[in-house]
Amino acid sequence: MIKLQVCSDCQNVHYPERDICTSCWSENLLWSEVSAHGTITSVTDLHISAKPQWKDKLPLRLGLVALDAGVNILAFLDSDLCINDKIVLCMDNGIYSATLKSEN
Amino acid sequence: MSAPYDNVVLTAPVTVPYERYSERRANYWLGRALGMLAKTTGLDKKHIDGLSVSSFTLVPDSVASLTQHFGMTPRWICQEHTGGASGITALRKAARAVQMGDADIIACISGDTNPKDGFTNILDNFSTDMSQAALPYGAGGPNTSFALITKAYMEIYGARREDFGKLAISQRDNARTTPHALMQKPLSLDAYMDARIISDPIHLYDCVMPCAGAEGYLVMSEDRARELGLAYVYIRSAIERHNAYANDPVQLRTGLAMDADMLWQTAGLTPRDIDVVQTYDDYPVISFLQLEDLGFCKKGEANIFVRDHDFTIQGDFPHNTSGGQLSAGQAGAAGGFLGIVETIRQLTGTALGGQVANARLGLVSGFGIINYDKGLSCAATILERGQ
Ligand SMILES: [Zn+2]
Repeated sequence: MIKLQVCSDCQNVHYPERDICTSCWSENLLWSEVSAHGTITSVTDLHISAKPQWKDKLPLRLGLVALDAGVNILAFLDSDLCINDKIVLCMDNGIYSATLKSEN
Repeated sequence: MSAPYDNVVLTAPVTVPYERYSERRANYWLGRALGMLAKTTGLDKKHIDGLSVSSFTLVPDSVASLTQHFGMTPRWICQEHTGGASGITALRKAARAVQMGDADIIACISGDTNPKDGFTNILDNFSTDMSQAALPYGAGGPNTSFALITKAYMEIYGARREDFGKLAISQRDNARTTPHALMQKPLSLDAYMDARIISDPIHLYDCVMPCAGAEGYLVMSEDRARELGLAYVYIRSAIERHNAYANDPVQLRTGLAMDADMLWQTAGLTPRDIDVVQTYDDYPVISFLQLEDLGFCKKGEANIFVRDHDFTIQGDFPHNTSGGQLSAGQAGAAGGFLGIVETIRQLTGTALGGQVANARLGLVSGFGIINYDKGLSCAATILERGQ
């Protein structure tokens, strides 16, 4: 599970952070646990960064994740992940990364 | 269907020649565009009573503070924040203001500066979503977002890098006739394919070169343009849409698809009627999406459309005839004005570079404000040579 803002009135899930519910405009957004499962919808290997602090870490494998809970999240990917892979997302200090969902 | 744009025209296309870097403020570039508008039309500046501005690097100044900088006392001002769509969203508002008598002559201008660290600054201050949900992932900026779109598009529709390359190469050919285009060296398919990788599948020649510069045009009544002896164009139709298809997992269509039918119906035209097309080309895949969403070809078939047509000035589908941003450079928000300004020139027979023969109808589309995963704003207009 990961924590995202969920609307208490309509259960809409939000990412990135919102101030009112994008679905019903309620102000009752609560950080709640939602499923960390999702599917990779696109990938890229980033070779050039606009910021010097990334220079030594390039290339980076990044991907867009369609979370089952209904939001899209850009995340760091394990190097072998591809489009359509089922993944589990984890969050550390506000930064998301995805690993392959184990078959079971 | 929206009301027709009767008795209102676009005229006086101007371009402040681009420079790769500039330590001047945006105010300078925007002011130069105004100066050129006055000079090319012979208008006294006191007759320009409306001002519309689009700029990323103008902050903390605004269109209101600019009136003092430029010694103007307009009775109508507007600031566009739609980036690549701003040339068209500006004209929609300005045209209505002129039609309703809220202003007589509106200068629509867009420009940005580009100091050496300029692009990083724009990224850092672009939006809260970009800061929170995109930049922490390697700070690739728009390259990351568009690489993800391009990759998904290629995987789903079977487009190849060569297809994007053909578009970029045609635009380079067009740019080579355009004096102010920053990139004048011919581009071969080999050079395109072998270019440095930026963010797979985006390589160097899929990316625009950020630069400083400005673009502008005037909006006024047809009667006024005639009195002044200015060549002008009519607005046959214009649409805009923001945050369309918000639940799509990847942006493979733009909001243009929502309103394209109305665009054509209002104009009473079909894609085959159009003589010259400008799409917003911050990356080739975005031009592909616009061509599809506007109905020039079916969804997912822009690759075939590009293979089947000649996109150069003398070709059967003249497209981005001043080189587009891919070859002219991207002067910040002025990239959203490039297509309008170039279309006014093409339709009035005043192209700075290659002229499309007998161009009577032109289509311009824009796309902008990629927040973290999707471009939020899009717009399109059909323009016609004035009689
Ligand atoms: Zn809600």
